[in-house]
Amino acid sequence: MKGPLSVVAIIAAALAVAGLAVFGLDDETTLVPPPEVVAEGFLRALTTRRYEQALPFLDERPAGIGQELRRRRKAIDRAIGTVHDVRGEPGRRSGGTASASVRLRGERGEARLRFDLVRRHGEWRLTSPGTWDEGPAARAFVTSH
Amino acid sequence: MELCQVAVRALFAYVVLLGLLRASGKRTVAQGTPFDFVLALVLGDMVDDLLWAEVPAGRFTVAVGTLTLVHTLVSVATARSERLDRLLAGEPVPVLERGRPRADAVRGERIHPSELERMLRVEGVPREAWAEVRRATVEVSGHPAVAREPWAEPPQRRERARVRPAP
Amino acid sequence: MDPHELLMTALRAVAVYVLMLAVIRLLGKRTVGNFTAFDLLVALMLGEVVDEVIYGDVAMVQGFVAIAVIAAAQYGNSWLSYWDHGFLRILEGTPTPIVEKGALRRDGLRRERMNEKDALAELRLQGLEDLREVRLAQLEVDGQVSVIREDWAEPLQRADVFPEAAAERGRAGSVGGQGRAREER
Repeated sequence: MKGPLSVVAIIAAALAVAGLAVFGLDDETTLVPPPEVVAEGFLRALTTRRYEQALPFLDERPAGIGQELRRRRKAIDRAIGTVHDVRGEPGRRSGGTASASVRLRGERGEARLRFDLVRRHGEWRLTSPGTWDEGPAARAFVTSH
Repeated sequence: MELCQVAVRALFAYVVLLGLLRASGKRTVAQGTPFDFVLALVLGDMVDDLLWAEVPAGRFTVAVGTLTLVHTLVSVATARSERLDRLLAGEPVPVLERGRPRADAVRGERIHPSELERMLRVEGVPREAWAEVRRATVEVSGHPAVAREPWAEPPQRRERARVRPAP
Repeated sequence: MDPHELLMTALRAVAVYVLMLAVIRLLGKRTVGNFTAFDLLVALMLGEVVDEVIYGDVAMVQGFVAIAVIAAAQYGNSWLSYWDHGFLRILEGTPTPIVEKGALRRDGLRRERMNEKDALAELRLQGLEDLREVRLAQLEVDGQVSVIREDWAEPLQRADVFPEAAAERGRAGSVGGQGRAREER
């Protein structure tokens, strides 16, 4: 059974290389998605109502998080309308934490959301579903809480 | 800096895929069966996700690696068991015999008459000359194979002696 | 990249592989073997869905439904094509003649946006240097070029040389078809 065994060997070797880079050499942005890509991915999923896809981006998933996500999506929708562009922007990185922001462009305006992230198992995870940085949504967002 | 990272990911993807393909053996992917094609598409799609860092390298490795591993195991298994091979890949189906289409086979493979004609035209056999075909088969890979009647084939060199010289 | 997540990815990959194997098998050999443009698109669509299912971005059930629907649509399509001439023609088109009776069909070439050099190259691939040998060459719907040679350009058959074989041809001629046009040049 030469074939399958060799395949397993390659998988193991590749995992070893990835593991070495991420855990050994502390790579945080190359072989793992960097903070801004994680935040961007989260918002892409959220704004397209793919809540199941959005959840894994979060570090903690307390009870009621599903509702919370839906609330936030509605708040974004109320503030700037249908979102058609989501762009992550890197922030700072130090130790096991980082920050990033995401610029949203919607029908009726723009907004920016800020995120804090923490490293879990080598990957970046969001500590919260985001806070408003600028844009007309800030007030609406606060009241929707 | 960003470009450098893209380059590293691209290199990682390339090396891993190359390694997996070589480890799985040439026969597994080069057969050109419908499934091989779809598999290749999927693997390529996954490289895209890694390139733009939408997926961590570890998960990418497990995904492409598992697909390749299962594919290799299936390949080894079908090489050893004819029954499994027939179950998974099917059997060649004769669709034309002695110049006449086999209605049940043609229907089973859902081959439209115009497709049958095309299959034979590509082999250089026009509709009028279907009588020359001893058997046309749709092979497991989907490709047609056409075998002519012996009288429609060119004579072979070993039959030289029987040829009457031109008057 | 925790072990649990990686294991889940591996399991999903196996499940998807098995499903795809079953789907492709059920769709029949010709799904990808004798590619027309549409078959290629279906293969692309199936491949595209698989990606998100394996990474768990999409619930297994949803992914399976998407795959099943595409497969069912393709299955229905191939039955429809089989039953209805017109449908198939709209879907795939008809072959375009590019060489007829020894001359290039410029209207055909233009319609297929094929230039003369490419056409001649295709013919050379089939061993033809002299256009006059071509009775009809067409660009088929799957992109292949089919060539029917003039009768005098065909290789000799045993039936042309041996009387017994000729007799067999005579018998067969009355069964399956008319035999090739007997045009002497």
